[in-house]
This record gives sequence, C-alpha cells and structure tokens, in this order.
Amino acid sequence: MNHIYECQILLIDDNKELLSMLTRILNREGFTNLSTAACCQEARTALAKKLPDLIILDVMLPDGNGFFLFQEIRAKADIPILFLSARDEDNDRLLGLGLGADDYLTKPFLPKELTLRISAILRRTYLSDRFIQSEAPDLELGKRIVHFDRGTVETSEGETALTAKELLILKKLYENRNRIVTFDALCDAVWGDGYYTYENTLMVHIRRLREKLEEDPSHPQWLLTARGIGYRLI
Amino acid sequence: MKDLLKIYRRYILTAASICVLVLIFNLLLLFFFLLNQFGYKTANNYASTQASRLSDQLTFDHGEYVLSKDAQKLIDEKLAFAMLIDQEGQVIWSRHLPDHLPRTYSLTQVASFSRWYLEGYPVKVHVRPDGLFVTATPLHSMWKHTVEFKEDFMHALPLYLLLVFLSNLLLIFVFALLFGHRFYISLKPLVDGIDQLTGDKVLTLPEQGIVGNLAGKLNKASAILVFQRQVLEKRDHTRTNWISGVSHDIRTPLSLILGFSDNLAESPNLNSEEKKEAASIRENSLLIKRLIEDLNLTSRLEYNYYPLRIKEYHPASLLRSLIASYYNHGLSNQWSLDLALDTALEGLILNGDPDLLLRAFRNLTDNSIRHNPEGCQIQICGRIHGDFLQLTFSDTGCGIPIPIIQLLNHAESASDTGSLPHVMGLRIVKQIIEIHHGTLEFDILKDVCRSLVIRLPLS
Repeated sequence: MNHIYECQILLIDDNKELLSMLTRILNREGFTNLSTAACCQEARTALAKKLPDLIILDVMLPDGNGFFLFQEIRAKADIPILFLSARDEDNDRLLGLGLGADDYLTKPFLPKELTLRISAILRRTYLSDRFIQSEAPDLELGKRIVHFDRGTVETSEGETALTAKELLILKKLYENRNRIVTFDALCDAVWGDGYYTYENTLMVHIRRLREKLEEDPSHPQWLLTARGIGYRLI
Repeated sequence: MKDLLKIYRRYILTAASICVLVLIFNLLLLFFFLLNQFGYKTANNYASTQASRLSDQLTFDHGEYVLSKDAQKLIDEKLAFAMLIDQEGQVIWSRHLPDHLPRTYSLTQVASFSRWYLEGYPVKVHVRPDGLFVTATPLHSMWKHTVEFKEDFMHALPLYLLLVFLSNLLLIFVFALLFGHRFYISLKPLVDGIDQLTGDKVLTLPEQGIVGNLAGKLNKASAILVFQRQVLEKRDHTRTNWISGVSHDIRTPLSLILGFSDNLAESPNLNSEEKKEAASIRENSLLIKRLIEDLNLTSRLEYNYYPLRIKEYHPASLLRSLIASYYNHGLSNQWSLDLALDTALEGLILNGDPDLLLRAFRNLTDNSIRHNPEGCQIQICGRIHGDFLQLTFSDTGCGIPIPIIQLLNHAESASDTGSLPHVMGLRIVKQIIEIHHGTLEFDILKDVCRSLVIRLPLS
C-alpha cells in the first residue's frame, strides 16, 4: 500500500441517508474504495466476501449491538474500527475504547473531523513503518540544521552537540511544531514529572538550546516563549 | 461516646442539683420543726417543762401549801395534775391528782416515774427542800424515750456523718451513671434512626420502651421521606432519560444536516451566497450540537447522574493546557488570552474531576470569545486565598448582563423561565464548581460584570 486513500472502508450504519452522506464525504476526501452495510447481517456478508482495511461502525443497529459485532469481527481479524455513534455517554465511549476500538466519535460530527480521524488511524496502521523510517528528519532553522539522529546542530562554523535533555525538549517541540507545548508537557516528556521544581531547570535548558539554535538568543526567532504557558517552535 | 458523656454529665449535674435542693429543703424543714417545737414548749407546755417555776410558786404559809393563782390557772388549763411528795413518799400537796393514783410512793416508784411516766402520765419533777414537786401533762400528750450511745461513738459522730454524706454522694453518682447509661441506651436507636433518615431504607426502630412513641413517629417520618425521595428520583430519572433520549434521537438527523451543509458549503457548483447560507446552516447545526451537549450535561449534573471521576489534578497545569489549546486551535488575533498564576500554585495538587473543571473553564473562556466578536483581552488569574484556590476570569469585553447573573443566582425560584435569557453555559459552570464544593461569584462594578471569581477548597 502506497497511500491511505487506497484503503477499503466498510461503513456500517442503519441510516441509509447517513451512509450516503458518509460516502460522499469520504469520496470528496479521496477515499474511493468504500462499501456499506445497514445491519449486522449485511456487515457479516460483506466481511465474508472481503475484509476491509477499516470499519466505521454504529453502535445501535436494527438486528444487534455494535459492541457485540465489534467483538465478533475482532475475533476473526485485527481490522481497525472506528465507532460512530449517537450514544454520547462516557460509559459508551469508554466501553468502545476499552474493547479495543481505534477511536470513538459521537454524532453529530464535523465531516472534517471524521476524515482526519480516519486518516490518522489508517496512517498509524498501514504506513507506520514508513513513518518511523522518516521519523527523525533534519530540522532546518534558518542557517542552522538540527540532525536529530546525530543529536547535533550544524552551523557554518561546524557542528555543536545537543545534550540528551536538549534533544528531548527539541523533539517534543518539533512533534508539535507551530503549537504551544506547555511547561508541564515538556517536563513530562523530558523528566516524566510535572513542572513543579523543574521551573529553573527547564528555563536553563531552553536558554542553552536557544544559544545553539538562534542567531540572537536574546531575541529568539525559532524557539518562542508563550508567556506563562510554554514554548513554541516555529 | 460524646453523646454518652454529655448525658452522663447532665445526669450527674441534675442529680447533684436535686441533692443540694433536697438538703436545703430538709434543713429548712428541720429548722422550722425545731422552731415550732421550741415555740410549743415555751407557749403551750410551759408548765410541764418548767416544773421548777411552778414549784417556786408553791409556798408553805401558815401551815399549809399555797399556790399562786397564775400557777393554778396554768395547771388547770395545761396540765393533768401536780403534786408534792415529801421525803417519806407521802403526797403532801396536790392539785387535780386522779383518784386512782397512789397517795404514797416508794423509792422504786419515784425512781421509775421521775424520768418517764406515772401510770401513763408524762411527768416532770423538781427537787425542793421539802420534797419532790411533780407535774404531769395529760395522757398521750408527750413521747419520751431514753437515748443511749457509747461515748466513742459520739466523739466519732462528725466523721460518721461525713462518711454517710460521702457514701450518699457516691451512691448518687453511681445511680446517675446507671440511669444516664440506661437513658443513653434507650435514646441510641433514636439517634441512629435520625442519622439514617437521609438513607434509602425505611426505618424500623423498635417501638417499645420510654422512647417507643418517638420511635414510632420517626418510623412514619422515615417512610414518608423514602416515598417522597423515590417519587423525586423517579421524576428526575424520567426527566434525565427523556432529555438523553431526545438528544440521542436528534443526533443522527443533525449529523445529516451538518454533513450535507458542509458538503454544500464546499461545493464548487454553488455561488458564494448559497455557500454562505450552507455555511450558516453548518454553524447553526454546530450550535445546536453544543446546546444538546450542554442540556445533557446540565441535566445529568442537576440530578446527580453524572459519574464524577475524582482524581488528583494540578490546577496550574490544567489552566496552561486550556490556554495552549485555544492558541493551538488558531485563536484569532482580536482576542488575547493571558494567564497569571501565583508561584504558590505550582506545587498545588487538588482532588476533583479535571475534565469537568476544564469544561467549566472552557465555558467561561468561550463566553468571553463568543460574546465579544470584535475582540477583547481575556485574563485568568490564579492564587491561593486562605483555604481556597481563587481563580479570576476577567475580560475587557461587554461583560455579563446583570439579568443573566440574577437568573443564574435565582434559577430555582424563577417560575417563568420561558421569558428569561438562557444561561446554560454559566449554569454548567456553577454546577461543576458546586460539585467541587466551591463557589462562583460575580464581581459587579458599575452595573457591569467583567470578572467572576471561582473559589475551590484546598482540602
């Protein structure tokens, strides 16, 4: 499989209009290999013919319960399943996820949110190896290049080594690039602990990182402070 | 145990008070009795007790005994008789001496009656040079008895009296404890019953003993309370289920509206005006979605059907993640979110449902954004104030209208809520804070509320 859009998706819901709408939404996003089932029996027939790459499953079906059907499917094959249900109680959500579902989305939903979640599941399931291979690319910050694999920052004057903690901080910021990462999330990623008692330590590491990444560490361009909240890598 | 001690203390105090009162009463009684006796002796029985005085008024004159008129009158009125016995035992003078009494007395007879009775007559004697003067009061008018005690006993009498007093005190104390305990035991089922009144079960307290009547009334009250509670729970359950059911049934149609309107809004076949209308349908569908979620949540919170997930949370971290999420989801430049936390908050860990609290904080922040479309500065301040974590949410926008605050504060008493504005978001905030035993206060300045304060207990 080269692309997630090649995946076959089985949609199981008792509302035919909703099935039609889901088909159109997914088609619009590029998913063309789609099949539908309006009840458990139809789903079993479709599964007997061919196993899909992903199933979108409603909980309340006319001839059975989606949770039971989920267990039935999982007993046969380890197919990623996303629950799409009108049941919004926490218990239902926890039950679905507890059974091993890959995601649980409640109706009504934003079409974009559904397609993003589907893409994430498919990418995680079928393209993760490729993703891992390209997991640690180099990061270009102006005239400087961060080599995550080597743990260095390359400048015109040579390479400067990053410490283990600096590398962890930078990786966390890179994974959430352009997003604010809170002090707490950074400390949790680096020390596995909360922000309390690490305030100064984190500040020192950030200052040293800036000295290695920024042209002018006093006026950072790449590693910005979100005052009182966290840091953001541009 | 505390109640038992209280009852003991009360019993002992009461017993001691009763003892003191009885003692005072007895002393008073004794005093009056003695006074009365003394008065009786002086006024009514003067002659019998003062035989010597009568004797003085009996004189020997010209060969015969003469009694003064006053003494005669006294004997006539008060005494049975009087006589004078000479050294040989002969009665040499008498007045009203009954015929059946002897006129001569032996030494033994004199010794016998001198202290007590002469043929049943209580007598008093007075020795005079010419004999023994005897006065007698009427039959059965006096009671005489000889009291004899060992001298050692009389010397130790004060000590014995003290011992008697102390042993009485001890006895009273023991009885007070015993009766107090008995009273406590009889009251205990009642106290337990009152404690259990708030429970789900009908009380079946034993209706015997001194508190049987009260226990019976308590049983009846409990039955009524349980019945009312069941009716209320049934009503609340039905209401919550109804809301939950309606919101469930509306979800799929709303998904279709949201999906199709999104399709139309993105469709290349529609003109910009039509796309705008489709986008409006989508936005309003999202609004309905949020309303349904809020309605469900507020209903479950109000009737205690929301399963709280209480755990330790770090308020500073929670607030930072809140602010970060707004910026990370592309908060427009016209709004700015500032967080000012006291350093004391960094080490603070509280117990609560962090997801629910985050929902409350998000509702407040969303309100500031939604009601100020032209933009505003939103600030969240956190500090420790006494035994509370104090969070202040303020903005530079239009503020919360006073009617909204009034409605929120008096929602329970408002009978016609149909004509009032909807305050679902703020009501959820209030419910969540109250579930966490906190308070929500509106800081009104010049008829405008641009700041509200949440206080959450530290313990």
